[in-house]
Amino acid sequence: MTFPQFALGALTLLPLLGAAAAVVLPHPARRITGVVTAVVIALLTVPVLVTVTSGELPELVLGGFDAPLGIHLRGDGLAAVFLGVTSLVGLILTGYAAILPKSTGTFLSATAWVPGHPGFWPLWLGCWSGLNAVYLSGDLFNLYVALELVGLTAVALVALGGRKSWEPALRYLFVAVLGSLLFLAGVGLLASVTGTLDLQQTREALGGLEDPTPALLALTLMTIGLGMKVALLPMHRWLVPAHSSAPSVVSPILSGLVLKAALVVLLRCWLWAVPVLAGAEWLTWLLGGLGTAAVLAGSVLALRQDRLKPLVAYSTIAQIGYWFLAFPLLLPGENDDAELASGAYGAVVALAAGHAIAKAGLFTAAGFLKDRCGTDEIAALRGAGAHHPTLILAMGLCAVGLLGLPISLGFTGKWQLATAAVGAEHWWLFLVLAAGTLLSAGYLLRGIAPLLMQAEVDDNTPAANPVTVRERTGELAVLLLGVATLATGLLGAWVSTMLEVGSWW
Amino acid sequence: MVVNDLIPLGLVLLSVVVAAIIFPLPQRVARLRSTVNLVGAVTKLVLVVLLVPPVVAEGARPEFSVPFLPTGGGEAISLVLRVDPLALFFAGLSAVLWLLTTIYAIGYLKGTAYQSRFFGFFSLCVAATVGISFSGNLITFLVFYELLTLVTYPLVAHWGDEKSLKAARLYMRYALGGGVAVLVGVVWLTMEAGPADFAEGGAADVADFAAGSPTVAVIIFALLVGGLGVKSALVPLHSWLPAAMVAPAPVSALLHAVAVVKAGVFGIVRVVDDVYGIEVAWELGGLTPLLILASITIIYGSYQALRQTEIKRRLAFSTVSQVSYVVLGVTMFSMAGTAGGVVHLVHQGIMKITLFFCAGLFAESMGAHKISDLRGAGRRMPWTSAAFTVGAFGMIGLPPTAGFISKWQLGLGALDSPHPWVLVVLVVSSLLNAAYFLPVVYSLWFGQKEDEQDSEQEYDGADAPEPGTARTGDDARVHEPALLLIPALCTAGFTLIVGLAASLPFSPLEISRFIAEGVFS
Repeated sequence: MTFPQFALGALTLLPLLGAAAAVVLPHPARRITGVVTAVVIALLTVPVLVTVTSGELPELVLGGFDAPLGIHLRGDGLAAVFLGVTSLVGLILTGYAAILPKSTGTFLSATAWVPGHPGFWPLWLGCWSGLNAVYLSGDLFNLYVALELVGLTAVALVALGGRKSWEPALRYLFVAVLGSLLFLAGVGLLASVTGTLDLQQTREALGGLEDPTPALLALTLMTIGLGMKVALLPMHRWLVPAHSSAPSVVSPILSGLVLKAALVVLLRCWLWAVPVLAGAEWLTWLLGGLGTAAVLAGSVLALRQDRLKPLVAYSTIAQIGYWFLAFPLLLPGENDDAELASGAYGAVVALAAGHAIAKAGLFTAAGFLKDRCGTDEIAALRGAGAHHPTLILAMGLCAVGLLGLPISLGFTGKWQLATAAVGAEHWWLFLVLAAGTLLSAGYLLRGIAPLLMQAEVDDNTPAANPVTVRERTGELAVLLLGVATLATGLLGAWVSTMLEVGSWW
Repeated sequence: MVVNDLIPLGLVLLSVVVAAIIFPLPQRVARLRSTVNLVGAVTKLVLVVLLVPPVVAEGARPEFSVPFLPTGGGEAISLVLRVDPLALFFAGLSAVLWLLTTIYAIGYLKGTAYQSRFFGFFSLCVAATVGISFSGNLITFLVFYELLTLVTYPLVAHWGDEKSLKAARLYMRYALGGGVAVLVGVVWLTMEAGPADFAEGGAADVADFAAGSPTVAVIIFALLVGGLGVKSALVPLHSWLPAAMVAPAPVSALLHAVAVVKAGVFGIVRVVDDVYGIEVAWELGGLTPLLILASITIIYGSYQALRQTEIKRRLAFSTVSQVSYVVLGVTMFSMAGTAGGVVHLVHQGIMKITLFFCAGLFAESMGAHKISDLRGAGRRMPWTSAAFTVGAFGMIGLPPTAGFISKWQLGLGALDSPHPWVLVVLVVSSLLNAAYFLPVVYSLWFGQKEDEQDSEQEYDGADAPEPGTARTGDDARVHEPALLLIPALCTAGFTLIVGLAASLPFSPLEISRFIAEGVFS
């Protein structure tokens, strides 16, 4: 076994191990376990990235059972990009949670609600394990299991926020379970037709089938199920309460990383498991239409929010729309222009990866302000910028990424999408992109500009209490995410070369 | 001198580094902050000056590039920073004015809050300007162009009151709208004709593409120029500019002289001369509408300036008008005209910044915001008034100022071009300029304050004023802070020197003639 192969296995199992250890450890030791695990995971990501960059495809068959039965891990380009992003964001957020434990929720100790929930650490590490497993899984059943792990730990993480978050968490649980069931039904249907669960074997078996109906039905079921988990409009209603009532370090995990797991599974289904189907075109157009609606409606709803965390949550809904805009371009159509399809695919990945970093930063900042000032009402936060210049700067940097202005992966993604749109002569896409960009400028300004204003009565600002060293360090973590938003903007070309490794074409 | 390819990158990063050092500094360490700022500004100026001989005389073109955007299958599009004469021309302007404006801003903001934030974004703004000047293709230009929008927003909103934020929001709306138009144009052009590296006389790929599908080429041209026209405040896209005057005086000065407005015009020059190439743009029929639009902007801006009663607003509309001279020059399709337009990039910068420096001085020292407040200011603030007078004469185009050189060159170009009627525009606009600047200059030196006139009229009827109370206060010299005055005097001096020494080697006029020859080669 080579080292990159070892890393693949360790990336999925080590966080699980860390989670198990954290459950039995006393509370202060959990933090140390969490940080150590996060650092090791981040280091293990490096050999995988290096291998993929050199054009090789690391693969590992666990326990020696090969497909169709065994657990098959493939570190292809898609997996590598998301592993890298998750390690980066995960490491920074872990550090943030360790420095500011009160951001991990509140729990009822004897008689009073105490800030800082020790349950965060095992849940977060379990979630991370699930995320890595989703990226690396090479067969449908493992995808399902990993996605379930991510979903259930995410629900539990939301519930750490105290009594107010229980109702949204319950709602989230229903959606997550229903989505998983629909996905499982699709998987079952595919398995009954093809007799295998492995992605490549499924594709080959489906290619030999005469009748595309079962595959199409399965694809539809899986898409609806995953659409619920990604919160594609009109299945988005659960997201805003869940993401905005979650503890302040959990919201960025949910918005930045957990949603991406469902997106990766969706891409695996559409591009790897199922070959181009005759009747699937209407489905891509439907997804494109819903994406457009999400971009516009999500932005307009974000514009109408008076509180910061719901505003950021609605902006997530708008950003989700961008990933689906590319679907009509994603499958090589009649003219069979694979170059356009790969461009659209690169766009989705770049947009999602850029969103993971930028949104994690913005949500952390919003949560920080809420923790500090006791409220996230935009009007009440007026003038908070005077006491937190670093934080505001970081929010500005993240906003650049979300707007899709250069230099950021958001820009790279929009660029690739726009060029693919020109190539395919889908001019409407241009309009949606332009409208989305302008609307997002509107809501981001609405959220950030009041922080820069002078407070009406200076001493009355909730943020005026002295800032502790811990909080300053926490701000630096957010700034790190902001800087990463811009720095990753220079990696667009690298990302697209990585994506070619193990791609479906 | 050996010219290293890393120099353009270094020049961009220099200001970024300065910003990164300044941002975390606490408010009280004013001396360290000023030192970092000034060291950065002087270093940059020295580097730019050292670049002039090799680039202009020896034809060196230092270039730095890094792959940036993936394309479908093909080679990635790069971020390219390249130094050519036009780039150096613009970078030189920004280097000189950065230094002077920094000195001015240090004096202007002494004792106010949020200085680290201000100077940090100020440096980033300069970094964006340098990036814009060195951009080697449209993508790179776009990157820095958008960056400029973002980093100027906190500067416009600096005072943090309702009015500033409103103006900043308006500015942001206009700038982002324009940015989107430019983005669409760039994407489209890149898909059709490749990344469009800037080249003297136009990019070959773009020329081929324009020959093949002229309609699309015209649409893209309109998108690009329309988007750039927002920042360069072409009528009817100009209303953000007068509103943005709520910003601190050094910001207005920089915005008008070198940063935002100039970035837009510089972009138009690049698109016309180095992307499409002036011949291609002419054959496509894109130049004449732009020329007409520029003429309208010149006249309309002057007319609006005439109607303003506030000093800063009058200057703002004057900028709207003056900046369009550059567009006028490059679109009139003659070599002399292009040289006139390009040289006005620099001339307008130094003249307008003088006026803004002075306006800030008047406001700070005498609380004068309206033009009527300036009556008799010549006796109270003689140095400031002298500098203002030089700047105003320059704007009108009186010899021996820089403005005269610009207008002379533009006039020559107009006679040389297919559009001799442009000369009429120049004359009318100069008359209007005189109409709104000369009264100000007159009242500076010869005007009397209103209450003085009143008191003289009422002298025999009403009670006699206590001898020596009211009058001495009005005529007394007002202290003109040195940090504010010296930059103003420097730029006023440049206005004269550039005008007098226009035919020396490496003078702006000579360099712009050299650039114009490249354009028509």
